[in-house]
Amino acid sequence: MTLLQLTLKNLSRRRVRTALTIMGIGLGIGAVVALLGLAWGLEASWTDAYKVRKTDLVVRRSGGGLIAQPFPDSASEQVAQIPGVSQVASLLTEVLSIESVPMMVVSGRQWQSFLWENLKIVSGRLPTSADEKVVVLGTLAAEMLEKKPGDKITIEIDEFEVVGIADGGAVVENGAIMISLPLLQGVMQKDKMVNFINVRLDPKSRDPHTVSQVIQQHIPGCRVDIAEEVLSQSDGVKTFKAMNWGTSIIALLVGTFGVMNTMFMSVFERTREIGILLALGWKRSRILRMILLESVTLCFAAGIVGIIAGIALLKILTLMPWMQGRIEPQITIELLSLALGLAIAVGVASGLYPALHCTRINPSLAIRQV
Amino acid sequence: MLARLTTLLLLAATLAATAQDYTAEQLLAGVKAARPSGGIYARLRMSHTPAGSTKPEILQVQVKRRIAPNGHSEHLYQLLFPANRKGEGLLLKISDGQFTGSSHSPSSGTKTLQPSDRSLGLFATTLSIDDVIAEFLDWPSQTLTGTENLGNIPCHIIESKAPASSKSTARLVRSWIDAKRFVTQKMQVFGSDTTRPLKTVLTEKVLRNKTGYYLPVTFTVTDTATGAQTTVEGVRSDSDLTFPDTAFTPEALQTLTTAP
Amino acid sequence: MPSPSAANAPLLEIDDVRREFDDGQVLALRGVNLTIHEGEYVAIMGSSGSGKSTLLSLLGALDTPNSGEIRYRGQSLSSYPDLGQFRAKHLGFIFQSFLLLPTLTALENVLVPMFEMPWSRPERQRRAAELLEAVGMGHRLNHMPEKLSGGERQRVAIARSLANEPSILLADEPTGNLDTQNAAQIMDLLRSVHHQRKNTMILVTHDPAIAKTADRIITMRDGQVVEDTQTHPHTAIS
Repeated sequence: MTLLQLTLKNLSRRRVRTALTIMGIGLGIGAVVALLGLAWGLEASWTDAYKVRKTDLVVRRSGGGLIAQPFPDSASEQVAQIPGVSQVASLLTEVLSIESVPMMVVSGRQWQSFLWENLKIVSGRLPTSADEKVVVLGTLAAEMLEKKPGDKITIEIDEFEVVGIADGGAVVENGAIMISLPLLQGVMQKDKMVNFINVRLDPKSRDPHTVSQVIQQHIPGCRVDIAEEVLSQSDGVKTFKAMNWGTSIIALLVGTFGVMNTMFMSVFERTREIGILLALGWKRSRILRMILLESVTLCFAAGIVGIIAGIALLKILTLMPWMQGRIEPQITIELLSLALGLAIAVGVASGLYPALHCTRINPSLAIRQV
Repeated sequence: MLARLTTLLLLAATLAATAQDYTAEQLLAGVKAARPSGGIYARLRMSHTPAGSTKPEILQVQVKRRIAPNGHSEHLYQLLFPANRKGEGLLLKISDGQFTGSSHSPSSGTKTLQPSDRSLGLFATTLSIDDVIAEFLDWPSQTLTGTENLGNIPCHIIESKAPASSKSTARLVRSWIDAKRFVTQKMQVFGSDTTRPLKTVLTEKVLRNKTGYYLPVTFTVTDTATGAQTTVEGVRSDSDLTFPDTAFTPEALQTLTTAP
Repeated sequence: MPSPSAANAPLLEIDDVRREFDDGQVLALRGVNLTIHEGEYVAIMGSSGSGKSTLLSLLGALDTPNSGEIRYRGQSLSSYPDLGQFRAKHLGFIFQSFLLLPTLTALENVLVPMFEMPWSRPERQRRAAELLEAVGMGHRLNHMPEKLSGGERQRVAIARSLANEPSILLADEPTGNLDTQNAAQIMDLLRSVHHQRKNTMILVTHDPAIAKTADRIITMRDGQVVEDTQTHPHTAIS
């Protein structure tokens, strides 16, 4: 018999209470998994877009939300001249209501720039020239619009042919319509205007922070985001993450008090037994470990339950129509280990006080209790 | 303690009084003031559910609007989607509750509108030319009849009665106006039978524009007789545009161009 | 080779021990002096309130005196940093109400004190099974306490008290919850355990018949030793 076996026996003697406690903290852990999965997913789906495009810096006009205000494309030539910059690609990104889809990203990409490189054609082909009146759809966009190569698509007043369906390697790319920059400029009557410049740095160059400062000095009124940090800098995302963390912490706190209550009830009931163990010569530290092991085991089980519940919740959310193409929740090893880690931490935090209480039990009084 | 309570009561009374103090005319003036005076380009997404159907039909529409130098209000509505109806359009010139204009469809060409077309649905939706003219705002008989909370928005109810001279199909319009934002939250349009509305309009989403005014951007028009419904959703807009006079001619109806 | 000095060396010395409760309102022990030798079979007798249970708690290192000293092989108990360790090493307890852990089987109950012993798991299992065999419970290793009779439970408790190979066994009214027949069997078992293992047995009882089974009877009244009789000669450990 080991301490763990003893612990399991103790937990199984009040099955309903143990199960309810596991459910309580399990829901808390589930909330953590779902909320952080969403927050990380939001971040990853945007940073992924830059990762698959191998973009290091993004230049835009300062101010505005995720979709930035347009500025003259001539700025991209200036950026290209800056030492440390190896390639630039300009973009005009619009969020439009396309046919029956309420909102969709239309991404006008500089022709022959690296922005076309990450598109893996699933069916059809890429455009053959900048002014061929065609578009390529991301896989998700094709699904939402119900289009295949050869179909026509109306973007504002113009009609285009869908020539290809492409996997862009990131949700943001797959949910978008890809079109050559001059065509979208024509549709939107924004001749020679862009709203993003994607920059690739020379691999041997100075660090992105230095280059970004130089760009800011050369182009007044612009803002340079470092691709990896672009989302963590956005206020919206910061708020979203803070809210998710806040909610998670509240859920965990509630769970912690729940477990603490259970553990206290459990040790009060067993004062006499703990007295017996002390009388039989058990070290106080072993009693402490036993109670802690009980609450940690309880929370570990809750962690597993919570992870399953959280993943299920995320899967359900992913199926919701309003979620599609927006956020791909991230269920990563990091998230799951964090959830389990938090569960164990809750176990320790909630078990410590009841466990310390046990070590102060006077065995000669405790064994006389009936 | 007592002093604080008195202050609170006084404050509440003052607030209540200010909300009560509007007249019907002031409220309607507020609603009218929110309408932009310069040229506008807007993209609308309309979702029309015909009577007896559950599957909505999606229409993508562009709208150009201006106040012409002669003071007339000029509207141009053009259909972009579905592709088989692309190019259908409606031109309206409105003045003092009267309208002239033309309709166009690529298959049957351009026609001049007749006064009897007033109740014609815009692209066959439940939103009619009469609704677009919204003449009731200028009718002389406006009465504040009460207040009601819609959801958690306190609204004033105004009844607008049509004068005998009005050509509108509406004889009575009842509007629920959010007096804080001057936004019409709900409307009932009655014909000669003032017990049963012909149409109801419900505002679903309100946004604040650049100039600080609140405007309904999503609203649903229901034809109470048939149950047909159209939800109009503003997708994007450009304001303070200057249109050439040629943008509001029958010829302009036959071509599609975006905002200047 | 037997060592006569070891046989006569005092195992426990109780030196003017006083214990009071409730801030001196209850004087449970008012100066007790006793010497107990290795291998003795001692009964402490007295009516309820005589202080015999308090004395047992002190001897069992479950409680500490207000004044006076208890020495184990010459070393004062107050000098032990952890009395739990002392109990784990040297003492075995048998209680009137058995005090078995209800969630554990007979075998597991015997394993509990072995947590503090430096033995391997199979070694512990073997020893526990042997002990239960020795008290006549070899056929009930995996029974839960609630499925055992009172006599059987006390047998398990006796096996448990021997688990850490203690030099002293302390029994507090071990037959108090048993009928006459079972009581006699348990007393026989204690006697034979003592005979085989030669550990020191200290038995607390209010029953003169039980006390008579011991070699030495110490009688207490009002917190003091009033009589100390050697009924059988103390046989030295050989």
